[in-house]
Amino acid sequence: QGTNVGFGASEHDTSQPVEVSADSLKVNQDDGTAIYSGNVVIVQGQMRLAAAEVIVIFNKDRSAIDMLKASGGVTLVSGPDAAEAQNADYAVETGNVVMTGNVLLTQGTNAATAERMDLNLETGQANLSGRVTTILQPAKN
Amino acid sequence: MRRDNTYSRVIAWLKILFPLTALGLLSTVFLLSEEVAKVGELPFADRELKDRVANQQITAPHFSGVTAEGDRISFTATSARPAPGSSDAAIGETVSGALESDTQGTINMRSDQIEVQMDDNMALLTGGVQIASSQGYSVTTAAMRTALNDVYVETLAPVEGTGPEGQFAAGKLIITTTKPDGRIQLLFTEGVKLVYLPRQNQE
Repeated sequence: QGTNVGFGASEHDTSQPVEVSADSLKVNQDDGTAIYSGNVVIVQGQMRLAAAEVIVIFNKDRSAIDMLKASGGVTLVSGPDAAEAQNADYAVETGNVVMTGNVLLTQGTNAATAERMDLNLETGQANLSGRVTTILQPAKN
Repeated sequence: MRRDNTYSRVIAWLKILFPLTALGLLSTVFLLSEEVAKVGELPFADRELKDRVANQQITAPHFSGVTAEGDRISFTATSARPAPGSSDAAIGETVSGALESDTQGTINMRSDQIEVQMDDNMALLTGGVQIASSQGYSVTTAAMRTALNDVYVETLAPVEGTGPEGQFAAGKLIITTTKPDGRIQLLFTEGVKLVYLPRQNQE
């Protein structure tokens, strides 16, 4: 059960370069985990994701990024729409973003809250689930 | 009648001629002999000799130390000489260094020059400094400082380079160990910027 919503700029392309900027990056020499912290901003094409901390999860042979796990209060802006949540897991290759922890989705004057939002940036398809409430502004006549 | 004695006259002349030619041959043999190779030239140029005498230069010096956690720090240079004006500092040229840990891989460093301060156990690496970690991070900077008896590296200039995630630049790199478990960490601070190319367009 969940409401489907169109989200963000339509022609988001996941093969565009991803730019990450942050105050600092900490890399553990033993297991290679990489943690960006301090107003981290991830930009890819139209999509901009800001968070307090982002952990980089690599694929097995560390040749590519599997996932960016953002936490500590996340805001995701894509085209005219914006979504806020506690955490967001952004699978770079597939363009899927899973936002959890009192998600607030704002589209123009409409807003919706939920526990979780599954968003695919390429299709712009967002699925809200978990105590979904939607606030629709009546059109001013 | 005088018998024709040309034969004995010829022999008589030959008896004189042959020894004379033998003597001639013998006396000229030393003229034709090859140039005997002179004693080999000394492999050092005069300037180098003066250098070595003037500032007690040593070649291929090696320095290594072990930290409390058992990580090994070592530097080798192609040549080293005492730093002018201080008794316990040495300057080395074209340096390669390594920070090796049994469990946490190695971090290799290289630079054009190193100044080792013995008394405060620090070394200053300058000139085309490169730091490469076995976790796939390889950065360059202008200068860096490193402790010789502990895992502590600090770059004194911005760094830029590549990591598994892609091209990046940072204001500073500090390599330390977390206390108390001694995990070696690369801390890029003072602003980090990364550009990552997703795999589709890497092929």
